[in-house]
Amino acid sequence: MDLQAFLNEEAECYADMFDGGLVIRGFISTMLEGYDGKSDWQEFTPQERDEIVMNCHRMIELLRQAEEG
Amino acid sequence: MHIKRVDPANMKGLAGQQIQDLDAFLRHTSGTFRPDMPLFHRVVFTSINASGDHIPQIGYVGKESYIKEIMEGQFGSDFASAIRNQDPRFDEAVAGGFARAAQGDRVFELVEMEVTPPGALQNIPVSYYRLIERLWLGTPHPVLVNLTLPTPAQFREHLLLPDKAHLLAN
Repeated sequence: MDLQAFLNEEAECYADMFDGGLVIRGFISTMLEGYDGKSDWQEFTPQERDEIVMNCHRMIELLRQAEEG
Repeated sequence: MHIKRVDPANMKGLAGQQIQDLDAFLRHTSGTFRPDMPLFHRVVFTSINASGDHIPQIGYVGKESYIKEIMEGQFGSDFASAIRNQDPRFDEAVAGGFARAAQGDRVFELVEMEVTPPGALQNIPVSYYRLIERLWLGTPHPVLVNLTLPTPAQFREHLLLPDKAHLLAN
């Protein structure tokens, strides 16, 4: 599974978790667009992969808080 | 360190224009995130749980954000702690703006401070503009969005310095 497919699935999972699912999809897509058109996992450097995963991880934590208040 | 409130209309240069652009977008969408949000790759999203004592928990860190530059690759799951450990005085000094934004203020500030880079004998003045506002991501409660940019004066300093001294400021 390439990165885009993986993230698309993730986005759908998060859509189930939060009412703002479309917002999350937009967030992840926009974040990926910052990597010069890269879409396949192989194209990303190890540092970029870490950045993407950690950004998603930290955002989910933030959204859990924003969900609960 | 001096932190001064500044009307975004009076913020100078490209940095001032970019802060005005993001503010205009947030007004237009009533604070709701959209994928066409300007400066997305330069912003940081934080928790709205801001005590005023420390920088709140950090979520998204734009790949071209000022704060990412100064952390020099040290980013893990708890970015705010990493900043606190690297520079506790900075953490404490800038935390107030996040607390005010959490209450609903639209925060526009000029932050001026001096840093002493490792190995340097003299302090170096640094200055930057920052915006902090509430942002809704589809959840009942908002998060905070922070855009921090070097002022035109700081940018000139940036061009003159071969090292990363100026980056310690944020």
